[in-house]
Amino acid sequence: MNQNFDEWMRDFAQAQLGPFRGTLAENFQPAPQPRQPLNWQLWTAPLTMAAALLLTVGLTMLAYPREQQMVSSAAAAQLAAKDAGTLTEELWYRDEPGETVLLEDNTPAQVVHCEAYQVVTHVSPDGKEISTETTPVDFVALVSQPVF
Amino acid sequence: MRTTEQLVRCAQSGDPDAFAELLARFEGPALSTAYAILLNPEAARDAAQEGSMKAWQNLGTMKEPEKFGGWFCGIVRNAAIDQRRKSNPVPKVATDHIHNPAAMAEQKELFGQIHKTLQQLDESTRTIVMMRYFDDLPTKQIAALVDLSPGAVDMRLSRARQELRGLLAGAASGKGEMA
Repeated sequence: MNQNFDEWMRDFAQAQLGPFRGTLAENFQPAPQPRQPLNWQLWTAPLTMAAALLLTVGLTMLAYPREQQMVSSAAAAQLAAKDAGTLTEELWYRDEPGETVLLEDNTPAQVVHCEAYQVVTHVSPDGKEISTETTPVDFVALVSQPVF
Repeated sequence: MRTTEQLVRCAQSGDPDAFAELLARFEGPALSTAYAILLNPEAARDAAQEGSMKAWQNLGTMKEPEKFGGWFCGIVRNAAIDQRRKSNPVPKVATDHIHNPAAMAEQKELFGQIHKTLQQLDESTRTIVMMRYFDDLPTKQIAALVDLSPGAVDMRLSRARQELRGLLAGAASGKGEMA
Protein backbone atom coordinates (compact mmCIF):
# COMPACT_ATOMS: atom_id res chain seq x y z
CA MET A 1 0.00 0.00 0.00
CA ASN A 2 2.79 2.40 0.95
CA GLN A 3 4.63 1.89 -2.28
CA ASN A 4 1.40 2.13 -4.27
CA PHE A 5 0.38 5.20 -2.35
CA ASP A 6 3.62 7.03 -3.06
CA GLU A 7 3.46 6.02 -6.72
CA TRP A 8 -0.11 7.26 -7.00
CA MET A 9 0.80 10.53 -5.41
CA ARG A 10 3.79 10.98 -7.71
CA ASP A 11 1.73 10.11 -10.77
CA PHE A 12 -0.93 12.53 -9.65
CA ALA A 13 1.53 15.40 -9.08
CA GLN A 14 3.24 14.72 -12.42
CA ALA A 15 -0.08 14.62 -14.23
CA GLN A 16 -1.10 17.97 -12.76
CA LEU A 17 2.10 19.96 -13.03
CA GLY A 18 4.52 17.89 -15.13
CA PRO A 19 3.39 19.35 -18.47
CA PHE A 20 4.48 22.80 -17.26
CA ARG A 21 8.00 21.79 -16.33
CA GLY A 22 10.46 24.11 -18.03
CA THR A 23 7.85 26.67 -19.02
CA LEU A 24 8.68 29.32 -16.43
CA ALA A 25 12.22 29.88 -17.62
CA GLU A 26 11.20 29.37 -21.24
CA ASN A 27 8.41 31.96 -21.14
CA PHE A 28 10.34 34.47 -19.10
CA GLN A 29 10.69 37.72 -21.00
CA PRO A 30 12.71 40.20 -19.00
CA ALA A 31 11.15 43.63 -18.72
CA PRO A 32 13.55 46.37 -17.61
CA GLN A 33 14.03 46.23 -13.88
CA PRO A 34 12.89 49.41 -12.14
CA ARG A 35 15.63 51.55 -10.67
CA GLN A 36 15.84 51.06 -6.97
CA PRO A 37 15.39 54.15 -4.80
CA LEU A 38 18.55 55.33 -3.10
CA ASN A 39 19.15 53.54 0.11
CA TRP A 40 20.08 56.48 2.31
CA GLN A 41 21.20 54.29 5.17
CA LEU A 42 23.66 52.65 2.81
CA TRP A 43 24.95 56.02 1.60
CA THR A 44 25.11 57.91 4.83
CA ALA A 45 26.99 55.34 6.89
CA PRO A 46 30.30 55.52 4.93
CA LEU A 47 29.98 59.29 4.54
CA THR A 48 29.55 59.73 8.27
CA MET A 49 32.52 57.49 8.93
CA ALA A 50 34.68 59.41 6.43
CA ALA A 51 33.69 62.74 7.98
CA ALA A 52 34.48 61.46 11.47
CA LEU A 53 37.86 60.19 10.29
CA LEU A 54 38.73 63.54 8.66
CA LEU A 55 37.73 65.38 11.80
CA THR A 56 39.88 63.12 13.96
CA VAL A 57 42.89 63.54 11.70
CA GLY A 58 42.43 67.31 11.62
CA LEU A 59 42.16 67.61 15.37
CA THR A 60 45.19 65.37 15.88
CA MET A 61 47.27 67.51 13.53
CA LEU A 62 46.25 70.64 15.41
CA ALA A 63 47.08 69.09 18.72
CA TYR A 64 50.50 67.80 17.61
CA PRO A 65 52.00 70.31 15.19
CA ARG A 66 55.47 68.77 15.53
CA GLU A 67 54.39 65.60 13.87
CA GLN A 68 56.60 64.51 11.02
CA GLN A 69 59.23 67.14 11.58
CA MET A 70 62.88 66.61 10.77
CA VAL A 71 65.01 65.01 13.39
CA SER A 72 68.06 67.05 14.25
CA SER A 73 71.44 65.97 13.02
CA ALA A 74 72.49 65.26 16.56
CA ALA A 75 69.60 62.96 17.13
CA ALA A 76 70.21 61.34 13.79
CA ALA A 77 73.84 60.82 14.56
CA GLN A 78 72.91 59.40 17.92
CA LEU A 79 70.58 57.00 16.24
CA ALA A 80 73.05 56.17 13.53
CA ALA A 81 75.91 55.51 15.89
CA LYS A 82 73.90 52.86 17.59
CA ASP A 83 73.76 50.71 14.51
CA ALA A 84 76.83 51.80 12.71
CA GLY A 85 79.24 49.42 14.32
CA THR A 86 82.93 50.00 13.64
CA LEU A 87 85.48 49.46 10.94
CA THR A 88 82.97 49.82 8.23
CA GLU A 89 83.48 52.03 5.28
CA GLU A 90 80.73 53.82 3.50
CA LEU A 91 77.88 51.60 4.46
CA TRP A 92 74.27 52.48 4.14
CA TYR A 93 71.93 51.52 6.86
CA ARG A 94 68.24 51.58 7.08
CA ASP A 95 66.58 51.60 10.47
CA GLU A 96 63.40 49.89 11.40
CA PRO A 97 60.62 52.09 12.67
CA GLY A 98 59.96 52.14 16.37
CA GLU A 99 63.17 53.79 17.64
CA THR A 100 62.75 56.54 20.19
CA VAL A 101 64.81 59.67 19.47
CA LEU A 102 65.10 63.14 20.97
CA LEU A 103 63.96 66.13 19.03
CA GLU A 104 65.83 69.45 19.18
CA ASP A 105 63.92 70.52 22.25
CA ASN A 106 64.70 67.18 23.90
CA THR A 107 61.22 65.86 23.38
CA PRO A 108 61.31 62.12 22.84
CA ALA A 109 59.68 60.97 19.62
CA GLN A 110 59.20 57.67 17.90
CA VAL A 111 60.67 57.00 14.45
CA VAL A 112 58.13 56.01 11.89
CA HIS A 113 60.42 55.83 8.90
CA CYS A 114 64.14 56.34 8.67
CA GLU A 115 66.24 56.94 5.60
CA ALA A 116 69.97 56.36 5.25
CA TYR A 117 73.22 57.54 6.76
CA GLN A 118 76.85 57.04 5.99
CA VAL A 119 79.61 55.78 8.25
CA VAL A 120 83.19 56.51 7.26
CA THR A 121 85.99 54.89 9.17
CA HIS A 122 89.50 56.24 8.71
CA VAL A 123 92.14 53.58 8.87
CA SER A 124 95.90 54.27 9.05
CA PRO A 125 98.29 52.64 6.58
CA ASP A 126 99.26 50.08 9.18
CA GLY A 127 95.64 49.08 9.59
CA LYS A 128 94.86 50.95 12.79
CA GLU A 129 91.64 52.79 13.09
CA ILE A 130 92.16 56.50 13.39
CA SER A 131 88.66 57.85 13.63
CA THR A 132 85.09 57.16 12.73
CA GLU A 133 82.68 59.66 11.33
CA THR A 134 79.03 59.08 11.14
CA THR A 135 77.44 61.44 8.72
CA PRO A 136 73.79 61.63 8.00
CA VAL A 137 73.17 61.65 4.28
CA ASP A 138 69.80 62.99 3.36
CA PHE A 139 68.79 61.73 6.72
CA VAL A 140 65.12 62.07 7.20
CA ALA A 141 63.37 60.52 10.11
CA LEU A 142 59.68 60.92 10.14
CA VAL A 143 58.56 60.86 13.69
CA SER A 144 55.22 60.19 15.16
CA GLN A 145 53.60 62.18 17.91
CA PRO A 146 55.89 62.96 20.81
CA VAL A 147 56.19 60.28 23.45
CA PHE A 148 55.59 61.64 26.92
CA MET B 1 27.39 25.26 -10.87
CA ARG B 2 26.62 28.68 -9.46
CA THR B 3 24.96 28.92 -6.06
CA THR B 4 21.53 30.45 -5.60
CA GLU B 5 23.17 33.43 -3.92
CA GLN B 6 25.52 34.01 -6.86
CA LEU B 7 22.65 33.73 -9.34
CA VAL B 8 20.56 36.20 -7.36
CA ARG B 9 23.45 38.71 -7.26
CA CYS B 10 23.89 38.41 -11.04
CA ALA B 11 20.14 38.72 -11.62
CA GLN B 12 20.02 41.75 -9.34
CA SER B 13 22.56 43.43 -11.56
CA GLY B 14 20.25 42.83 -14.53
CA ASP B 15 21.37 39.44 -15.88
CA PRO B 16 18.21 37.75 -17.28
CA ASP B 17 19.99 34.42 -17.91
CA ALA B 18 20.84 34.14 -14.23
CA PHE B 19 17.21 34.80 -13.37
CA ALA B 20 16.03 32.19 -15.89
CA GLU B 21 18.34 29.70 -14.16
CA LEU B 22 16.78 30.61 -10.83
CA LEU B 23 13.32 30.06 -12.30
CA ALA B 24 14.34 26.63 -13.57
CA ARG B 25 15.74 25.80 -10.14
CA PHE B 26 12.63 26.85 -8.20
CA GLU B 27 9.95 26.09 -10.76
CA GLY B 28 8.70 22.95 -8.97
CA PRO B 29 8.16 24.63 -5.58
CA ALA B 30 6.55 27.64 -7.29
CA LEU B 31 4.09 25.51 -9.28
CA SER B 32 3.34 23.41 -6.19
CA THR B 33 2.65 26.55 -4.15
CA ALA B 34 0.27 27.96 -6.75
CA TYR B 35 -1.44 24.60 -7.27
CA ALA B 36 -2.03 24.22 -3.55
CA ILE B 37 -4.09 27.42 -3.65
CA LEU B 38 -5.85 27.11 -6.98
CA LEU B 39 -6.12 23.31 -7.43
CA ASN B 40 -6.16 23.94 -11.16
CA PRO B 41 -3.01 23.15 -13.19
CA GLU B 42 -3.33 25.87 -15.86
CA ALA B 43 -4.26 28.50 -13.31
CA ALA B 44 -1.28 27.42 -11.21
CA ARG B 45 1.03 27.85 -14.20
CA ASP B 46 -0.38 31.31 -14.90
CA ALA B 47 0.08 32.36 -11.28
CA ALA B 48 3.64 31.04 -11.26
CA GLN B 49 4.39 33.03 -14.41
CA GLU B 50 2.84 36.15 -12.98
CA GLY B 51 4.91 35.60 -9.85
CA SER B 52 8.07 35.22 -11.96
CA MET B 53 7.56 38.63 -13.53
CA LYS B 54 6.88 40.24 -10.17
CA ALA B 55 9.96 38.59 -8.69
CA TRP B 56 12.12 39.93 -11.54
CA GLN B 57 10.73 43.42 -11.05
CA ASN B 58 11.26 43.35 -7.29
CA LEU B 59 14.54 41.50 -7.18
CA GLY B 60 16.38 44.67 -6.17
CA THR B 61 14.48 44.82 -2.89
CA MET B 62 15.60 41.33 -1.88
CA LYS B 63 17.95 41.46 1.07
CA GLU B 64 18.80 37.79 1.65
CA PRO B 65 19.73 36.18 -1.69
CA GLU B 66 20.26 32.76 -0.11
CA LYS B 67 16.55 32.73 0.77
CA PHE B 68 15.41 33.34 -2.80
CA GLY B 69 13.32 30.13 -2.96
CA GLY B 70 11.08 31.05 -0.04
CA TRP B 71 10.84 34.66 -1.20
CA PHE B 72 9.89 33.61 -4.73
CA CYS B 73 7.29 31.09 -3.50
CA GLY B 74 5.80 33.86 -1.33
CA ILE B 75 5.38 36.08 -4.39
CA VAL B 76 3.83 33.22 -6.39
CA ARG B 77 1.49 32.49 -3.49
CA ASN B 78 0.29 36.10 -3.49
CA ALA B 79 -0.17 35.98 -7.27
CA ALA B 80 -2.25 32.81 -6.88
CA ILE B 81 -4.41 34.38 -4.16
CA ASP B 82 -4.93 37.42 -6.42
CA GLN B 83 -5.93 35.17 -9.27
CA ARG B 84 -8.38 33.24 -7.11
CA ARG B 85 -9.93 36.51 -6.01
CA LYS B 86 -10.17 37.88 -9.56
CA SER B 87 -11.20 34.87 -11.63
CA ASN B 88 -11.79 32.07 -9.11
CA PRO B 89 -10.74 29.23 -11.44
CA VAL B 90 -12.62 25.99 -11.01
CA PRO B 91 -10.60 23.18 -9.40
CA LYS B 92 -9.67 20.74 -12.10
CA VAL B 93 -7.91 17.39 -12.37
CA ALA B 94 -5.59 16.93 -15.34
CA THR B 95 -5.72 13.45 -16.87
CA ASP B 96 -4.42 14.32 -20.34
CA HIS B 97 -1.23 12.32 -19.96
CA ILE B 98 -3.00 8.95 -19.56
CA HIS B 99 -2.56 7.21 -22.90
CA ASN B 100 -3.60 3.70 -21.95
CA PRO B 101 -7.38 3.57 -22.49
CA ALA B 102 -7.69 0.51 -20.26
CA ALA B 103 -6.15 2.35 -17.32
CA MET B 104 -7.80 5.66 -18.07
CA ALA B 105 -11.07 5.18 -16.26
CA GLU B 106 -9.40 3.72 -13.21
CA GLN B 107 -6.73 6.38 -13.00
CA LYS B 108 -9.16 9.19 -13.61
CA GLU B 109 -11.13 8.02 -10.64
CA LEU B 110 -8.00 7.68 -8.52
CA PHE B 111 -6.80 11.17 -9.43
CA GLY B 112 -10.27 12.50 -8.74
CA GLN B 113 -10.12 10.95 -5.27
CA ILE B 114 -6.68 12.40 -4.57
CA HIS B 115 -7.78 15.82 -5.79
CA LYS B 116 -10.88 15.68 -3.60
CA THR B 117 -8.86 14.58 -0.59
CA LEU B 118 -6.29 17.32 -1.17
CA GLN B 119 -9.07 19.89 -0.99
CA GLN B 120 -9.82 18.74 2.53
CA LEU B 121 -6.28 19.53 3.69
CA ASP B 122 -5.19 23.02 4.68
CA GLU B 123 -3.29 25.08 2.11
CA SER B 124 0.07 24.81 3.85
CA THR B 125 -0.15 21.00 4.04
CA ARG B 126 -1.24 20.82 0.39
CA THR B 127 1.82 22.86 -0.55
CA ILE B 128 4.09 20.52 1.36
CA VAL B 129 2.47 17.42 -0.19
CA MET B 130 2.82 18.79 -3.71
CA MET B 131 6.45 19.83 -3.15
CA ARG B 132 7.27 16.36 -1.86
CA TYR B 133 5.53 14.42 -4.62
CA PHE B 134 6.09 16.70 -7.60
CA ASP B 135 9.76 17.39 -7.04
CA ASP B 136 10.73 14.74 -4.47
CA LEU B 137 12.07 17.55 -2.31
CA PRO B 138 13.65 16.53 0.99
CA THR B 139 12.08 17.74 4.22
CA LYS B 140 14.85 20.23 4.98
CA GLN B 141 14.47 21.95 1.63
CA ILE B 142 10.68 22.10 1.93
CA ALA B 143 11.06 23.54 5.42
CA ALA B 144 13.26 26.36 4.09
CA LEU B 145 10.79 27.12 1.31
CA VAL B 146 7.67 27.26 3.48
CA ASP B 147 9.43 28.79 6.48
CA LEU B 148 8.61 25.99 8.90
CA SER B 149 10.85 23.76 10.98
CA PRO B 150 11.73 20.36 9.45
CA GLY B 151 9.86 18.74 12.34
CA ALA B 152 6.69 20.65 11.52
CA VAL B 153 7.00 19.70 7.84
CA ASP B 154 7.41 16.02 8.71
CA MET B 155 4.44 16.13 11.01
CA ARG B 156 2.20 17.70 8.37
CA LEU B 157 3.40 15.27 5.74
CA SER B 158 2.75 12.35 8.01
CA ARG B 159 -0.78 13.50 8.85
CA ALA B 160 -1.53 14.23 5.21
CA ARG B 161 -0.27 10.84 4.10
CA GLN B 162 -2.34 9.15 6.77
CA GLU B 163 -5.45 11.01 5.74
CA LEU B 164 -4.89 10.53 2.03
CA ARG B 165 -3.99 6.88 2.45
CA GLY B 166 -7.09 6.20 4.50
CA LEU B 167 -9.37 7.84 1.98
CA LEU B 168 -7.68 6.23 -0.98
CA ALA B 169 -7.67 2.81 0.66
CA GLY B 170 -11.37 3.22 1.25
CA ALA B 171 -11.94 4.13 -2.36
CA ALA B 172 -9.67 1.32 -3.55
CA SER B 173 -11.34 -1.35 -1.43
CA GLY B 174 -14.61 -0.18 -2.87
CA LYS B 175 -13.16 -0.95 -6.28
CA GLY B 176 -11.65 -4.16 -4.90
CA GLU B 177 -8.35 -3.99 -6.81
CA MET B 178 -6.40 -0.82 -6.27
CA ALA B 179 -4.65 -1.66 -2.97
